[in-house]
Amino acid sequence: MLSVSNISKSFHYKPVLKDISFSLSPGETLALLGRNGAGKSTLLRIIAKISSPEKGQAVFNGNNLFEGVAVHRKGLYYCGHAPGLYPSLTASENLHYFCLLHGCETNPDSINSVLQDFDLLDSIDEPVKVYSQGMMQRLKLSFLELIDWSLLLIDEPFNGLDIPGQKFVINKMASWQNGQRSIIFVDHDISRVLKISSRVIVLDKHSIVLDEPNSSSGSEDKITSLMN
Amino acid sequence: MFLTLLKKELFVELRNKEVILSMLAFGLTVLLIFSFSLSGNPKINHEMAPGLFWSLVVLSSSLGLHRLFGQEKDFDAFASLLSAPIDRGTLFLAKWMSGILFLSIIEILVVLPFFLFLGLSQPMSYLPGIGIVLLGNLGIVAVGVIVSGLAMRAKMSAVLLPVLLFPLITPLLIACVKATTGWYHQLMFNYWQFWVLIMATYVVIFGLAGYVFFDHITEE
Repeated sequence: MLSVSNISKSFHYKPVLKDISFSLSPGETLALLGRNGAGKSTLLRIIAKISSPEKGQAVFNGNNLFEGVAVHRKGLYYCGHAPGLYPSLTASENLHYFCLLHGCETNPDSINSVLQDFDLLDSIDEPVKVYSQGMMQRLKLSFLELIDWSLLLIDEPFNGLDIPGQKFVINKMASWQNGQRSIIFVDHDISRVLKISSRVIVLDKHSIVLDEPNSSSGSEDKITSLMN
Repeated sequence: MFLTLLKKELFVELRNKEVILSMLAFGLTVLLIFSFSLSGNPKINHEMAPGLFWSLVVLSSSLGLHRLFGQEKDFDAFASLLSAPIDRGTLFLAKWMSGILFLSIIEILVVLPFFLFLGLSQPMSYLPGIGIVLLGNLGIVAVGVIVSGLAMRAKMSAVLLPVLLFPLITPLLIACVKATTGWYHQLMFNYWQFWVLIMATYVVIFGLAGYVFFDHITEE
């Protein structure tokens, strides 16, 4: 599904990523772990073609993502650290607009049903600039119920969520995992990562220092030692 | 997809009125300064009118162009746009067209006060003037969207935009003033067609450059 090879990136001559290579099969849920500044978010932004790498390539469903052909990104959905929404538009307007950009038609009923599921129906007519961080996070994730995606790149999906919100997202991610969909997510909570993911990559000093399925014995200890 | 993007640009602006109101307020302020600082001699104002008009347009547009990506910047909606399966050239075209529309609205709103405040006589024919203004708008906004896209991620984008924009549009601005002078002073088209050609060349070059290179311009 996704093959990333030899990706390198630096900001102001300071390396952020060095020769990152990995591949992802359909149905896999990959957790990206690492200390602050390890390059996790940058890696997601490069795969989503928001940021350009100095070298390397990413092939998604047989197409090179860095060739600049927009249709090659079809099925890929990036959910970043920031809300990624239009602050003056309402939740339903944001949903409607971004669904259109991803080539999906929506109707008021489907939008209302998703917003109800994500506990946002009461704020449907308010511009998202008045939303709390947790509400914006839920709205961001609600797109995934409407858009036809096969690879999700998600940066800190639990950011700003309360405990029930986190449980809700864990359940949602479990429901998204079935079938041919793959997820790459960034998180800092090792126990949660081991619960959700099928595979873990740890970045340290801009390179991959661990890449293994989390079912292997002693995963938690290895990851903890690398993160400390 | 172009229409979806353009509709969103117009809808967001209709909701905020951020770009249009800031440009209009600034444009009228500049116009007031012009009218107070000039001699009040209609003959001198008539001579200087084309230069004053384009100065007004450029100063107002720089403010609007800075806010052209404002809504995308605030909550990083631009990342959502860039990662979506849409052609970045189309993104440029939508920004370009919406920018032209906003600038044209401002020009329509300030043109009457411009003639009134400066005590200018009405031109003999309007159509060539409208053509020159539209061509000028196409050029200014094409350069503006490219520069605004470049400056957007910079920390001092408000400073960077005019610093990059003004030198880049200077040749275009000279052509706009010369062509407008030719039209407003009722010179034969032969005398100022060269400047119209320069304006058209500018539009083609920067329009194409924006369409082709917006992919690279917008990436981090």
